[in-house]
Amino acid sequence: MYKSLSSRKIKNRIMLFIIVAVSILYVTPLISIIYTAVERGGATLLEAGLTFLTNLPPTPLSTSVGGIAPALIGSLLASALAILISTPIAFLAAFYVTEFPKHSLSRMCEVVVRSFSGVPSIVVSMFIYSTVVIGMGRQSLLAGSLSLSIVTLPYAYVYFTSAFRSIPESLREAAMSLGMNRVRALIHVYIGVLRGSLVTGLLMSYVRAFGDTAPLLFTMGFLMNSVFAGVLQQSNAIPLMIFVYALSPYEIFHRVAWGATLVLLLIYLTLFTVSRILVRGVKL
Amino acid sequence: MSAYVVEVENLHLRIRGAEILRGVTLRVRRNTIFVLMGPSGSGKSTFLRTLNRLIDFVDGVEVRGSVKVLGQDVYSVDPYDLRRRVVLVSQEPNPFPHMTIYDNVALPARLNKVVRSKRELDDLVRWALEKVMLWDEVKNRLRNYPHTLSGGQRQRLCLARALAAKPEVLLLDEPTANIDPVNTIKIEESLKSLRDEVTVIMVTHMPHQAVRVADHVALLYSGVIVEEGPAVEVFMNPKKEITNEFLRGAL
Repeated sequence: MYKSLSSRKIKNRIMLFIIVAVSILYVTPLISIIYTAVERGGATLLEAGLTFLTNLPPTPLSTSVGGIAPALIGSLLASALAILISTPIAFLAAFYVTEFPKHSLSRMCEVVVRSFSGVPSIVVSMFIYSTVVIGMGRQSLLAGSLSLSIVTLPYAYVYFTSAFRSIPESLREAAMSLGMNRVRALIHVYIGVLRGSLVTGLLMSYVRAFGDTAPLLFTMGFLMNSVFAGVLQQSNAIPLMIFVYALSPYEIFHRVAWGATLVLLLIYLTLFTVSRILVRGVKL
Repeated sequence: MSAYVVEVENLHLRIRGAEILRGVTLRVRRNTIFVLMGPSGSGKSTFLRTLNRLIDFVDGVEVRGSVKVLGQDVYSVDPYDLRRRVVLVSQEPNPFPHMTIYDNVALPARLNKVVRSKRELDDLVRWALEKVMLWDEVKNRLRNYPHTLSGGQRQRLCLARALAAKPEVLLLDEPTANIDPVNTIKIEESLKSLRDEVTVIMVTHMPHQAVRVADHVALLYSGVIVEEGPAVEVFMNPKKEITNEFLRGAL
């Protein structure tokens, strides 16, 4: 009996060791990325201060790091426009599919939206390039937003669908028992009950759009000489700027790229934390 | 105007092939408390949900026979309009968790446009909460949310919400099954006080509850109406052995 207990303790310790080791292996790269971004990006941010967020980018021979204003504004606007396009579609599709799961239109909707999620985002970028960019004759913030909206659509759809599916059947019945039709139930009950989840879905979609690079490669352009030129004109984005500057041969561009990485990371963590807090606040 | 608010003739109902109701024929008089009794699984809740077509939300339902509520075939009227006039209160208390106590009661009144001013709405909310004997317990916390109430209070809130819709028929699906005796008595007293304003159709598997509140009762067993009649008559002198067994708690 004692032998068996001791062997179980040994097995327990081995398993515990494996779990801890795998966890460390899993977390180390993440900590390393955050540490490097903070170390190198922090140096750039300390050097430039808050003007890093408001100044134009430097030229290759500049002595000061300048700022990332065009990319910051471009990212904020393009992501906002993208979720303005994608989330209403995702919301309505999710509502329709959860309310009428057996309808053929629902099945089609499910297949189409989910197949979007399997399309590589660079392909989406190419698609928008060949349709919108060539059609308009230029890369633009609108084209970038459209590209991002296609990428975020399935993401928002999955989020909203699981939110609608989480509504307890008793609440659906309560709404229907009072003579509400589905739209009234949506307006008066479901949105109120799910407001935390819906805002979270919106934020998470925004976060996703904010951090994505590939959809913008052929669509957004690379605006550097002004903060904002218009929705139908070229713009810039933080992930795009990091990608382009990281590949450039100029040391000053590398410093800007690290600073931009830290800014992106901070924005991402802030939005992510807010969305997690909101999820925790949802009580059904 | 017919004396009967519900007239059901030879109702057969199947769900995914399984026969739940088998030739149910029933009539319910206006402004009475009608209690449909029966053991669990006898088809009581299904019958109740047929009256306001909530059964439509269940997959694979086939209905045969005639179901007239408020003088009209339920399948010839707008189901949403029907449900505004024939409101159901479920077994499980289900107040809307994102709305205050006040708003829970006010919502159906607003949706059904039964009031024209804020003053009228306030009066209606108070009336509904008084009817279910909840007013004194919540009058100082109308802006609180339902999760601050006990299970029994939540169920009475749901009853008040249903009353605020000003229905003509109130369907109650074992409304006291999950609550304590004190709240059960309060709900039963509320139902008795409503007799002049609304027709109540309640299902229950507890014969002693039917004894306390019913004017008229029917026993549903395996989807068939075994016996029905005035409550006193059925309780004092049941004609069928199954009724006798049910009343003795042996079913």
